[in-house]
Amino acid sequence: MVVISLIAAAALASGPSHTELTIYNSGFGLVKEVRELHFKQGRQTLNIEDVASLIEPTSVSIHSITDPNAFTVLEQNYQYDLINPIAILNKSVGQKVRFIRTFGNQRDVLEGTLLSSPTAVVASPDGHNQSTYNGMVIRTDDGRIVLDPTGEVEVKQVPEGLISKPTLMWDIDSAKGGDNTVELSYISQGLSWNADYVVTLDGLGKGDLQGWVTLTNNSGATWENAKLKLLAGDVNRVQPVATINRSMAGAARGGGKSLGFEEESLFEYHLYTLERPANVRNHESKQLSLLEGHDIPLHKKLIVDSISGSYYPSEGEVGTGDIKPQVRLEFINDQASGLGMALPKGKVKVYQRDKSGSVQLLGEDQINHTPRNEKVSLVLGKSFDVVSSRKRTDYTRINDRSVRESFEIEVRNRKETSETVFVLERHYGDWKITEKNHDYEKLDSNTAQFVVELKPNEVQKVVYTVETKW
Amino acid sequence: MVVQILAAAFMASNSAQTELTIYNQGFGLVKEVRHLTLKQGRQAVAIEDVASKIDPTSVGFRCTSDPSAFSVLEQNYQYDLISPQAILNKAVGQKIRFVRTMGMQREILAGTLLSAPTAIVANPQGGQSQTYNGMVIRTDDNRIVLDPTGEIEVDSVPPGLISKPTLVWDLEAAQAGEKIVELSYISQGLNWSADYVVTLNGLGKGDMQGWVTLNNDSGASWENAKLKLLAGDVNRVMDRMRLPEGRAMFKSGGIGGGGGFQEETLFEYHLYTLQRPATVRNRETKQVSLLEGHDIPIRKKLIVDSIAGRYYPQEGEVGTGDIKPQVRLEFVNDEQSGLGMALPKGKVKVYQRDQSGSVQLLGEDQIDHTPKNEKVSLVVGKSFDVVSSRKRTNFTRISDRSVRESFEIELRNRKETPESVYVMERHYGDWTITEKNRPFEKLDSNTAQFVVDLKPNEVKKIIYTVETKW
Repeated sequence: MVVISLIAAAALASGPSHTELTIYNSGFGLVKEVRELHFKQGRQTLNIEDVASLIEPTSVSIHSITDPNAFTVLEQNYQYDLINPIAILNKSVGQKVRFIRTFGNQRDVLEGTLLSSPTAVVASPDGHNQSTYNGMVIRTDDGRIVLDPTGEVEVKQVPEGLISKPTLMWDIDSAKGGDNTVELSYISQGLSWNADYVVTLDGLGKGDLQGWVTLTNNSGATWENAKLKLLAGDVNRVQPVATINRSMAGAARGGGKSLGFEEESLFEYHLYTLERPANVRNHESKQLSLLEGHDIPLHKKLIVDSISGSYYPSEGEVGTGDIKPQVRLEFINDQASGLGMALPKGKVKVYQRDKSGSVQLLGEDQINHTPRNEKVSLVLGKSFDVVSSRKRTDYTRINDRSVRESFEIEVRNRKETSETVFVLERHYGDWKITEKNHDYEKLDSNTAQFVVELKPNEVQKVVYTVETKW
Repeated sequence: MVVQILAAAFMASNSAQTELTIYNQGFGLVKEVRHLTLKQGRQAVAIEDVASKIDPTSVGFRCTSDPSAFSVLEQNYQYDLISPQAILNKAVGQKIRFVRTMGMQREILAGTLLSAPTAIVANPQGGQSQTYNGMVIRTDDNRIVLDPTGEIEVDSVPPGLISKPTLVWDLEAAQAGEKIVELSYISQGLNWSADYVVTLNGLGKGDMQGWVTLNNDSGASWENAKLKLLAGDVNRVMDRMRLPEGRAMFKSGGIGGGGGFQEETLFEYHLYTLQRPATVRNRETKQVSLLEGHDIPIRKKLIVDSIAGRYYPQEGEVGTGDIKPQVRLEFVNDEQSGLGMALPKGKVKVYQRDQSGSVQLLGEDQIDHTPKNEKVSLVVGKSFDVVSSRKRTNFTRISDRSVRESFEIELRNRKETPESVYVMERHYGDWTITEKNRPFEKLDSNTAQFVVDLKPNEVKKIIYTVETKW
C-alpha cells in the first residue's frame, strides 16, 4: 500500500536527451540513454516507461554522470503486470461489475458482484499448477445468479498493481536534491545488422568492392538522432537469441575507404561508429554505406572436386561421370589489393557488365568475419564451357588390407580462351600414387591436386594409379 | 459438513508481517503472521489470499502466541471454483431460468434442470470418460425443452463452490480470544539468480558488480516483506523446471543507507537477508545490488581447440579447415584479486569502454557456484583478427594397430598487438608425439597444449607427428 502511493507520487522520468545504440550482429543491441532527472533528497521512486519492449530486464543499469555519488540504487524493478480485461476481471472477484447490453433499441444494465474470475491458477497436490478457464458468474443485487452474462463489461476501478506499460522502477536514495544527468543502459532484443557486399568485375581480372550495412529494428522502440555503433565479432551470449543473424560490417584501414563509419579495434572485435546521428525507427530496415575498395585483383579458379562433400567415399561409383567445375573467385584482403580492412560476415554479390554495358549478376556467396591480409574465396557457380569426365579404369586387390586403383579424368575446354583447371583427388587411409601422367601436389593427408593448363578447345587427361592400405 | 463450517468461517485478517525465503531452484517459502480471533471449540478458518502457485502439501499453520491455543483437526486446500459449468453441473434438479429476447420483449423460460452439461460416466471396463451432454429442462407445465438458449440464471450458487482457491482449517480451540498464527507454505513461481557485470579497463584489470535478480510470477504480491535468499543446491522430490543460482557476497553495509544483504551460513547453504523490508509484486523482476570488486587482474586467453566437444574423432576431415580462436577471460576469486568471496551461480556480462568512452558489451557467460580462491574462466566470444587453419598433412599405417599422422596448424595474427594463442590438440588411444617444431605440455591423456606467442602481424606454424597405437 505504501509502495503503491509511492508510485503514484513518483515522477515519470523525462525522455532521453541523447541516445547511443550499439548493435551486435547476433541480433541484439545495447542502448545507452542520457536523461535529465530532478531528484529530491532522500528515498524516492523513479519510473521509466518508454524503453524498448524487447528489453532484457536483468541487463539494466543506471548511474549519474554529473556526480557518481549523487544517489544509490536500493532496488531496480521491472514490472510487467499489465492492464488487460482478463487481468482486471481476475482481480475484481468480489467487486461490483456491470454488463451493458442492448435490448431491442434499449440499453439494459445488469449489475452484480463478480463471483468467479475468468481464469484461475489452481495447485494440485502433486505440486503442479494449472491454469483453468472458468467463465464469469455474478450475483445480482436481488440475489439472482447469472452465468456467463453478456454485454460490455464495466468495473469501477483498475485494481491496484496493474500498469499500462512494462515499467522500469528504481528505489533510489539521493544524497541531495537537484538536477542530475543520468545514463541508463540496457540490452534489447530485436536489433540486428549485417553486411552486404557488391563486387563489380571489369572482366579483366580486377573488380570494385562496395560494402553496405543493413540494420533492422524490431525492438519496439524508436530512437531519434542516436549515435549509432555496430560491433562486428562473435560475441558469446548465455541464451542464444532466437534469430541468428548473419552479418556485420566492416571498416576500412589501408587501401580501402570507409564511408561515414569510424572503425576501431575493441577487445577481440571491431567497432564501427557512424559519424553522424541517425534515426532508428521501430519496424525499420536501414541501409548505410560502409566501405569501398577499387581495382582489386581477383583470380578466377575452376575446381574439379569429384567427391567434395561426400565425407567418406565407399568403394564403387563415387565421384565418377561428368563433373562441372566449380567457379571460385579469390582475392587477398590486403593493401596491395586496394583493401586491407576487416570485412565483417555477410553476403557478397558479384556482378559484371555485359557488352551493352548493363550489369549482370554472376553469383552470390557468404563470407565469414575476415581480418585484413586474409584470402577471401567465393563460390560463384559452375562452369558452362569447361567440362570434365572422371572414371575409375582399374581396381585390383593386392592383399587383405590393400588395393590398387587407376583413375582417368578428362578435362575439356570448349571456350575460345585459355583456362587453368584445379583437379582435386581425395583418398582416405594410407595411400600412395605410384604412376601418373601429370605432377601433383599433396595438399593434405587426403587430397592430391593436379593443375591442368588448357589452351582454347584443348582436351587433356589426368591418368594416375594409387595404392591404398588400411 | 465442511461446507457448513466454511459458511461459518471468517476470513483471516491480512498478513501483518511476511517473510519470504526465495530459493534458487524456482520456489519460495512464504511465512505470514496473521491475527485470528477464535471462539472456543471447533471452527473453520479460511484464508484465500495466498499465492496461486501454492504447493498445497507444504502448508504449515501454528500459533506463535500460544502453541497450545488450538489443535488442527484438518487442513484443506479447496479449489472447486465457481464457474458457469461447475454451477450447472451441480444444479441438476434445481430451478433454472433462461432469459432471452424475442423482438422487443424479454421472455423467461423457467424449469428444472434435468441434465448436467458435462458428466463423468463410468464404463463397464472400470474406466471413466467425460461426456458432453448439453442441457435438458422440464418446464413447470411439463414440457421437456432440449438445449434451451438464453442467458442462464439460477437461484443460488450450489454449496461447496468457492471464488478463489482457499486454505481451510478445521480447528479445535481450547479458549476464545485473539491469537497470532504463523502460516507457512511453498509457492512456485518465485526465483532468484545472480547477475554479474565485469567492466574491463582494457589494461588487464576490471571491476565486478554482482546483482541479485528476483522474479515473482507466483500470483501474489507481498508488501514490506522481510526478504531472504537461500543459495545452494537444495534437493526437492520433484524437480522444478529451473535450476537456480547461488550466493553472493554482500557489499559491506549494503548500498547506501538503505541496507544491503547480510550473509550467514545455514547448514550446507548460505542465507542472505535483506536488511530492509522489500515489496515483491506479482509479475515483477527486481534487482538488488549484492557485491562489488575492484581492480581485479583479468587475463585474456585465445584458445584454438579444433575438436573440442566431439567425444571421439574419426579418421578423416575432422577438425580441419579454418578455426576461429575462442576468447576466454580468467581471474582468480581470491582476496589478492580484490574478490575472495563466494560467487553464486549466475550470468556474467563483460563490458569494456571504447575510444569515445562509452561502454560496449564484449560477451556473456554463465558461472557455477564459485567458492573463494577458485579460478573463474569465462567464454566471451571468438576472435576476429586472430585466425588459424589446421590440416593433416600425412597419414601412414605403421601396423595393423598403429598409425602415424602429421598435422600442421597455422596461426595468423592480423592485429597490431602481440597475442598468445593456446592450441589444444586432442588424440585418443595410446599416442606419442614423435616429432615437433615447438614444445608442448600434456594436459591430460587426450590433450597436448602448444603455446604460441605471436608478434603483430606474425604468422607461425605448429608442425608435429603423432603415432597412435590401439
